[in-house]
Amino acid sequence: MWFYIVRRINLFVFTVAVLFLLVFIMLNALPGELATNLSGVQNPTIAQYDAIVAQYQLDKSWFNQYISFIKQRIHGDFGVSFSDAKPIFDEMLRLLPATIELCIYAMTIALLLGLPLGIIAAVYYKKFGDFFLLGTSLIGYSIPVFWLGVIAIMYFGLDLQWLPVAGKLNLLYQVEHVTGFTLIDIYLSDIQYKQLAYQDALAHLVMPTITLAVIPCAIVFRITRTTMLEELNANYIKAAQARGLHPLSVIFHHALPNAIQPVLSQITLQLSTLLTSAMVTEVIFSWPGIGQWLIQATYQQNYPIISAGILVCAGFVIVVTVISDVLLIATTPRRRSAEYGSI
Amino acid sequence: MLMLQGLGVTLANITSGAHTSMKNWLIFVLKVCFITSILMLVGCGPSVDKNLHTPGIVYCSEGDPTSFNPQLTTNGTTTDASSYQIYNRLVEYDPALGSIVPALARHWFINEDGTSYTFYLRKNVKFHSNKDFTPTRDFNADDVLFSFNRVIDAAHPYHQVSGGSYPFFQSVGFTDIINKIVKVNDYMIVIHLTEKDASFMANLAANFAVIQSKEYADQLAAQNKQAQIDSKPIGTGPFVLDSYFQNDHIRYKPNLNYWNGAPAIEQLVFDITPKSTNRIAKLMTGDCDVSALPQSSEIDIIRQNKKLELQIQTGFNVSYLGFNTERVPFNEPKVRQALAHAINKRAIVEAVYYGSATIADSVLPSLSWAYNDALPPYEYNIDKAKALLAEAGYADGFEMTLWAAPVQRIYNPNAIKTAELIQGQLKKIGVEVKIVTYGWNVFIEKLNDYSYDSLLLGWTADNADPDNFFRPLFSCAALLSGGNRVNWCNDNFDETINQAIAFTDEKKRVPFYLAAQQSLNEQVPLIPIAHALRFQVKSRNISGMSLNPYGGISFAKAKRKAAVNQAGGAQ
Repeated sequence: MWFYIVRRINLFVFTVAVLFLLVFIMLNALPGELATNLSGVQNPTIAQYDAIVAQYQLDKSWFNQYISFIKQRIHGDFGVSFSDAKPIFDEMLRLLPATIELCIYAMTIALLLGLPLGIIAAVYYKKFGDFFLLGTSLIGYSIPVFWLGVIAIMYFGLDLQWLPVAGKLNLLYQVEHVTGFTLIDIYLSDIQYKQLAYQDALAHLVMPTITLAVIPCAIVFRITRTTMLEELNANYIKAAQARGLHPLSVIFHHALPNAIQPVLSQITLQLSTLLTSAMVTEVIFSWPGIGQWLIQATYQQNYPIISAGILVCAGFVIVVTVISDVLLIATTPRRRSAEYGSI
Repeated sequence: MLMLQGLGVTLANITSGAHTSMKNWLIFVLKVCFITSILMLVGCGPSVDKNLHTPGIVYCSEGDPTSFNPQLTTNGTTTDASSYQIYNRLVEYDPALGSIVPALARHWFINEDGTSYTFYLRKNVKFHSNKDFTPTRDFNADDVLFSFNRVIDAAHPYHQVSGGSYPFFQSVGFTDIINKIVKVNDYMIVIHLTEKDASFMANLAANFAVIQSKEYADQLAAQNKQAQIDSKPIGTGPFVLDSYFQNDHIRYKPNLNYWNGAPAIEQLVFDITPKSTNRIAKLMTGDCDVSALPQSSEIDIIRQNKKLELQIQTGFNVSYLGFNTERVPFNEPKVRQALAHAINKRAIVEAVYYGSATIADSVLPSLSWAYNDALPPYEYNIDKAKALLAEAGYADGFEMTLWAAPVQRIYNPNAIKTAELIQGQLKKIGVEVKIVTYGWNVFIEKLNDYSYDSLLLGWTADNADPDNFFRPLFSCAALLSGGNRVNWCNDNFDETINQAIAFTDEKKRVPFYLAAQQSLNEQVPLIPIAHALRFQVKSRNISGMSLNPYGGISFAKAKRKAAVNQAGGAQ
């Protein structure tokens, strides 16, 4: 077990080092001064330039440069943005919670809907309900997020005018930015119309969350269905049925706990897909998160932000994958022998 | 059985014991899952009733202001965010009355020969206060002197702060016109002009001639934070700047001490929404109450929506097809007249503006008091056009370039499309048009070489004075400053418009402007195509918003109708 964790951490360090190397090579290859691309300071004065050279050891070998690049980034210095010269790290801290908030809600909905539906489909295997759910999930899985978002805006936003189509909260509610999670911030703030602010925030959440939840929901559903089917066909289930146990008891007490584990490990694999979809969703619904910020940076060729975005998003996926792997192995001894350091 | 044991082991590992309770818990969770998810999907349902919002107004603005001082720019976004919200001017232009009305100046007196303007200032006008500044005195003559001297006096300590560029004032030659500004006492100033200028009052009423606080400036200078005067503004206007987040929003609080009566709303927010479709969507779903610049193609959707109200006003602008009048064959007035007959303006207004413009017969909109309605318009007539071309010796037509910018401007939403229509129309009289286009910045830069035959451009006036149409577009002086794109310098015409501004009385100026328009109508240095209408969309439950033909939006009188009553009800 410990041996496994050490290997995992080794692999993690190596992967992150490669990630940094790739971004470092990219920053070298991009047009413009390396000092500017690394620090984000445009047209630096001589003093500023010297400071940047010292900071990133640009007068030393490329290996030194690479190491000091990693050091700066790990210490939270991501340079400043080309467009407004604000520190990128602060901006990221301000925007990241909005994205995480959206992802958490979407993932919650995906699990809340996908798991039970997967079980139902498995139980009614090859009956109408199964086919219906399978078909629906296929549609959900294959609809591009941007299209779904736009259709939702057109129909629920503009035609029916049920739901707001952009932003996190009506700006009339002056909610201070504390955690970045809207619902928590509303709770912490001392505004006059709290109840209304909650309703408004929820109304703003509905469409982006559901849009973002559709694909993970379809995936959760399909995996649950498959693993559940496997378990239901296993001998121990047949034995349980033969013993005359209540069918619900067989499903919930025996099959489900086994079926659910591969689902959870699959979900972590979907994380990068979720992040990508979240970015698209943010752009469609003008959700003030990190995705919209990154995509705008891409338009503006704001290299420090783009490189920071790659590092943080990729880093996030790697960290979560490693942690979930370790947790999974820790709770599932039978997988230990098989899985040595694949990511 | 072996498998079952395996299951037991796994479960035990997950839960570390508590076997049965775990199972019950799991069942419970799954039941809750399904119910919650259904509730989450359905329960949110229709959005909150928009009348229940806090008493404030959200304005969907099209972009970030470049600063909070309209003196520094002619950019409409900046003017909207600052001029009428934060500041006041000495005088204002009242679009309803069509005249200049008092603001910070209670009344004024112009001497006989029109070269000295005496202003009696309003008393008990309070400046805003913010975190860094609390005014100790009311507005007085020192503030007026400070605000104008900053602009006209290159040696003024604040002149170079924020770049030292004052585009509007430079374009109307403020520095040259104003001889000196004298403070008579705290509430009386005299502005001496170097020569008579009838457009002077209109310039003072323009969005840009705002009054800042000298006391604040002095305090900032003492702290060596001069630039803050334009980023954390202090004015006398109906709203106080509360906070500004770039690319996101601007928040204003009402100025409860406002001399003209405190605003009726508790807060004003500018929601910065660059995409026009997003602004319309936010209006429809209630996240915005008023929106800037709807596009012509969206007008129909807005009209169909019962909650929204479209306000329309003829804009003080003109889009035109201009000729490089120094180039062959456009140096020949007959050729220009021929082309004027060959252009079907109605078709352009319908296809490019979707009807959101009026056909232009003169560069002056018919709204102007100097508009000449006695001139014969160039009706669309191919035969006349051909005949004129033949007279000029171009019976077989010729080839020409037409420059069109690829960007949307207020006066022309789609210059390329206009150019294509004109291309088709001129083909009928044998004139082959080659459309040339560059990015906006390159386009403007290249115009200075006069290397085009003709171009599609336009003009948006800064104030109501007709001089603002004629001088920048056609005067010989404007050849140097770059406004005169038609390369046309006519001494008689210059004489006429110079005579016109020698009178302060509008009635006496009218004949000169009629003559000027007559001259333009005969010479056709450019073909006026359309006056684009100005649009503003607002939710029907917002009142007190008027539309200003010269740009600039004011929320001083805006309020939400009957919102409070409904909020107290059962909803």
